[in-house]
Amino acid sequence: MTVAAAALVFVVDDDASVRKSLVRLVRTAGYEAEAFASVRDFLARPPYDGPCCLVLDVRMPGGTGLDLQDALRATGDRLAIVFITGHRDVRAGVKAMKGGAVDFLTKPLDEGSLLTAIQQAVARTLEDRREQARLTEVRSCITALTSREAEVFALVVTGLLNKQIGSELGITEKTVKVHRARVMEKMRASSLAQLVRLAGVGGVIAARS
Amino acid sequence: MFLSRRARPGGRVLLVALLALLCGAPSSPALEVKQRRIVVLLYPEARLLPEILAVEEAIRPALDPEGAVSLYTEYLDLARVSDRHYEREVIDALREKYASRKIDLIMPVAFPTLRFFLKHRSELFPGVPAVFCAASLDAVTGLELGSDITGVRLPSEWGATLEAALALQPGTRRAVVIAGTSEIDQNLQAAAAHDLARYRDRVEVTYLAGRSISRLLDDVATLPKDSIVLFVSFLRDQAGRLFTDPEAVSLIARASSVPVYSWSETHLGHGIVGGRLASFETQGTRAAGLAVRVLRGEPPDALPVVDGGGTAYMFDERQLRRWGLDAGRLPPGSILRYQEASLWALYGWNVVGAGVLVVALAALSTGLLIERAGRRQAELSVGERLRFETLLAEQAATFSRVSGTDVDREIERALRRIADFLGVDWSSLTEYSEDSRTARVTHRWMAEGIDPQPVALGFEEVPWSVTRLRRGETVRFTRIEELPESEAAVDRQTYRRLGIKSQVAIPLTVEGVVIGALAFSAVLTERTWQDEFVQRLQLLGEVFANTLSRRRSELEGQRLRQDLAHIGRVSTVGELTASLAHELNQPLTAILANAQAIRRILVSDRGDLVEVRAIVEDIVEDDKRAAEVIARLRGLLKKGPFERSIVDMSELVGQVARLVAGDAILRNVVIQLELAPDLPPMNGDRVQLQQVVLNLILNGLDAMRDSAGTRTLVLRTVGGPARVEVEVRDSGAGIEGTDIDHVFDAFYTTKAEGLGMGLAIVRSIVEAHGGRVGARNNPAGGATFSFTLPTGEDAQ
Repeated sequence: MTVAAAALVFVVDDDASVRKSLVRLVRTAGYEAEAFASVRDFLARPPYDGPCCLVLDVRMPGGTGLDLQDALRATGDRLAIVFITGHRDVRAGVKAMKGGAVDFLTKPLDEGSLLTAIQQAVARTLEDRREQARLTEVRSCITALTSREAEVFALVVTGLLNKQIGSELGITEKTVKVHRARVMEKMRASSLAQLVRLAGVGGVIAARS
Repeated sequence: MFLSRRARPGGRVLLVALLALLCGAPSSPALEVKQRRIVVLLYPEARLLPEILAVEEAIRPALDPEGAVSLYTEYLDLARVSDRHYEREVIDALREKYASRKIDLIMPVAFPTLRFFLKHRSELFPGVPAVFCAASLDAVTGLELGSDITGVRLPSEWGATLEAALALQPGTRRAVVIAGTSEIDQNLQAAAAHDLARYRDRVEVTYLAGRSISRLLDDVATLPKDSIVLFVSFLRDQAGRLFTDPEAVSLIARASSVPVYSWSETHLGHGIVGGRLASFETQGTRAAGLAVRVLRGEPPDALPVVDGGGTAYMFDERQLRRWGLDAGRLPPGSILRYQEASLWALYGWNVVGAGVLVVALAALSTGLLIERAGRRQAELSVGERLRFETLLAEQAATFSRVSGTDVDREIERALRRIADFLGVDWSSLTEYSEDSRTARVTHRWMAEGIDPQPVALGFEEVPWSVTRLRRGETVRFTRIEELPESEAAVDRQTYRRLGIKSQVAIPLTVEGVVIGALAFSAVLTERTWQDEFVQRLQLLGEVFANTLSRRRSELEGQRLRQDLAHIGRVSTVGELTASLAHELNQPLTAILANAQAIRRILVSDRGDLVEVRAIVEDIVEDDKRAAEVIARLRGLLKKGPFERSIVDMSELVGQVARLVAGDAILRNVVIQLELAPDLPPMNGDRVQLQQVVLNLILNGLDAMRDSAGTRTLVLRTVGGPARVEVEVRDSGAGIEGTDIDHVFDAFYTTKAEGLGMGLAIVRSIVEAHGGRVGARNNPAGGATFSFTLPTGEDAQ
C-alpha cells in the first residue's frame, strides 16, 4: 500500500528464535526484512543499493558483529549499523560507537529504542551513500586531469593568481588560462568557489618545495 | 612534510596528496603482461622482522594477483656491510645470481637497503627502475634519487603522537626517546628528532641512544613521573645484541616507570600505550600499487614519491588502564585495541589457532637466524650462503603462512627445493608414531629416474640409525662402510638394498621429543655433507618439526577442545555466568520481540489469527527454552557425575603440554617436561583432570608474563606409595606472602583480567578426586603449584 518501496532491514543474529522474532517485529513496523545467521551469510548477499540498514548481533560464532563492522568499513560500504547484544559489554559498545554505529542496544530489546534506531540508521545509510557517490564522482573527475592540469588545479585552489601560477610552473599566463579552463570543464565546476569545494572533497593539497 | 625530488633542479610543486590518492586507490587492476616479469625485493636484514613480514604479505598479493610476476627476495643482512669484505661478497653474489636474468623492477625495503641499492645500482642493476618502500627519508639524508626511482616514504608523525600523549598526560614535561644502534634505528631516530624539534618549548626531549639493553632497562625504571617514553626502534643494542622491535619494546614497557608511546602498528600490543601509528601493510600495498604501474610501463618519473599515509591513532586499552589514563581524552577517531578481558583468559582454546602459531613460528625462526648470525662461517661461499639463507627464510615464511591441507603441499615443495639445492637424489620426511614404534614416510621427493623408495620402514630395518635419531643425533655417512660394521650391520644391509650410497638424516624434535626425521640421500653417486650444510639442515629441521607439531596439535587440539568445552560447562560456573546470561537472554529477547509484534498486529487492526497463533507458539517454545537453561544452571551448581576411567597422569600432562606448546612459544616460555615413565595408574575423570593441569599451566604462563629473565615452566610428575603428584613450577614473580593462603580461593585474583576461578576450579576438582592442592614459592624464584592424587584403594 505504500507509495515508495519500504526500507530493507538486515537482521544478523546467530539465534534462530531471535532472528525470526526480530524480522516479525520489524515487518509489523512497516519495513522489509531479511535475516542472516552469520556474518559470512550476510557477506554472501549481493550488495543492496536501496534504503536499508543493518541490525547486528555482537557475539556470534565464526565472526563477530564488530568484525563485520570492520569489514564493511574496510570495503568502504557505508551501511549504517544498529548493534544488539546480550552482554552489557561497555568496551564493545565504545568500539562499536567509535566505529560509527548508530546505536548499541542491550537485549531484550526495547521496541521504541530499536525502531527509532532503525529509522535513524536507514536515514544515515542514505546520506552516507550520497556523500560517497559524490566523492567517487569528484575523484573520477580528478583522474581525468592531465598532470599539468592537476598542477594548475592544486595551485588555483590555494588562491594564487594565474600569473603567480605561471611563474611557479614556469609557463606563460596564457597557457595557465587554457589549463584552468580545461580544469573547470573537466571538474564540472562553474565557479572558483565551487572548484575549491571540490578540491576539499577530493583531498587535493598542494605543497611547495 | 612533503618530499621534493632532488634530482630535478629548481623549485616546483608536487601534487603529492593528489597522486597519493590515485595510487592508493583500493583495487589495482590486473597486470597485463606478455611474459613473466621479474621483481627483486631487497630486505635489510637476514631476519624475518615483523615489519618485513607485514610488508611482504601486503606486496605479494597486490603485486601479482594473476601469478604473472616472479618475485625474488634477498635478505641482505646489511648490519654486516660495515665489513668491506662482506659487502663485496654480497655484491658479487647478487651480481652473479641476477646476471643472466632480465630484471624489471627492484624494490628496496627500508632506508639502509635503499642506500645500499643507490650506492651499487650501476654495478648490480644498471638501468632497472626501482620502487622503494618503508624508507624513512627526511631533510637530513639528502639522497640523490635517480629519475627512475620512486617509492613510498615511511610516514613520521611523532608530532601527532606527542600531542596525543600530552592530551592524555597534560602534566608531561619531558620526553625520553629510545633507539638502538643499528642503521635503521639511527635513521628512524633522526626522523623523530626532526619531528620533535618543533616541541622544544613544550617538552624537554632527551635521547637515550647507544646503550646496552640492561643499562637502558635500569634507566627507564627510574624516570620521573612527569616524563613519557617515545620508543623509536631497537634492532640492536650497544653490546651488539639483536632484538626485534616487539621484543625490545615489551621489555622496555615492562621496566618503564612511565607510559611508552610509539609510531608503528607492529609495536601495539607489546606494552605501548599507543600513538599515531604507521602501518607497514599500507606501506607494502602502496608500494605494490606503484610497482604495478611501473611494470605496466608508466615512467617512474611521472610517479612522485608518496608519503606513506595509512597512519591512525591507535591505543591499547590495557595500557590505558595500567597507567590510569582517561580514554575520553584520546584524539577523535582513535582505535582502541585489546578491549576484552584477555581472550586467552576466557576462551583460551579457541585462540590457539593457526594464527597464533604462525606468529610463533615466525618468532622462532627469527630466533634461529639471530643465533646463527653470530657464528663464523668459513667454508661456504657467500653466494651459496646467501642462497641457502634465502631459501631457509622463505621456507620458514611459507610454513608460517600455510595451514591445514596446504601444509602437505608446501612440505613437498620444500623437499624438492632443498634437494635441488643440495643436488641429492631423494629427500623424505618421516613421522614416528605417537608410541615411537613405527615410522611412516609422509612426504618424499625423488629426482627423475630414481626408483621410488618404500613408504614405510620398520625400526627393526635400520635400528642403529633410529636409535641415534631418537636420541636427537644427526646420522650422516658418505659411504655405507663408514657405519660401524657389527653394530650397524642391519642398517648397512637395508641401505644397500635400497641403493642408498650417502645419507644425512636430521631428527625432528619438539620439546625434547623426536617426532620424526628429515633425510636427504644420494643414490647415484657418493657425496660428502659439509658441516655447514648439516648445521643449516638442522635449523630447517626445527622449522619442519614445528610445522608438523602444529599440524598434530591442530588435530589433537580439536579433540581435546571438544572435551574441554564439555568440562568447561560442568565445572567453571563462575566463568560461565556470562555465557548462561547470554543463553537466557536469547529466548527472552525473542519472547519480548514476538509479544511486541503481536501488540502491533492487534493495534493495526489487520488481525491475522493464523499469524498470531504462530507467534504465540514461538513464545511458548522460547519460554520452555529459557526454563531449560535455568534447569541446567541448577544442575551445574550441583556436582555433576564423574566419568571415571584409568588415567596415566604423565601421559595426560604431556598431552595438555602439547596443546599449549604454541602459546608457550609465543610467550617465549620454555616448557620442560619431567614426567615419570611408570606412574601407578589412577582412577579419575580424565577430562576434569585435563582441566586441572591446563589451569595450572595457564596460571604459570600468566605468572611469567612480566619476567625479563629466562621463562621456564617445568611440568613434573612423581609417583609415590599409593599416590601421584603433579607439579607446575614457574620462574615468575612468585606469590606474595599474604596471597599464599588464598590462591586457591574462588574469586581471589592478583591479575587485572582474571576472574579468580582458575585455581578454585583446580582445588574443587582435585578434592573431588580425594586429592590435595599445594602452593609454595621456589627458593630460586617463581612459584610451584602442585596437587597429589590417591591411587589404588584410596582413590575415591
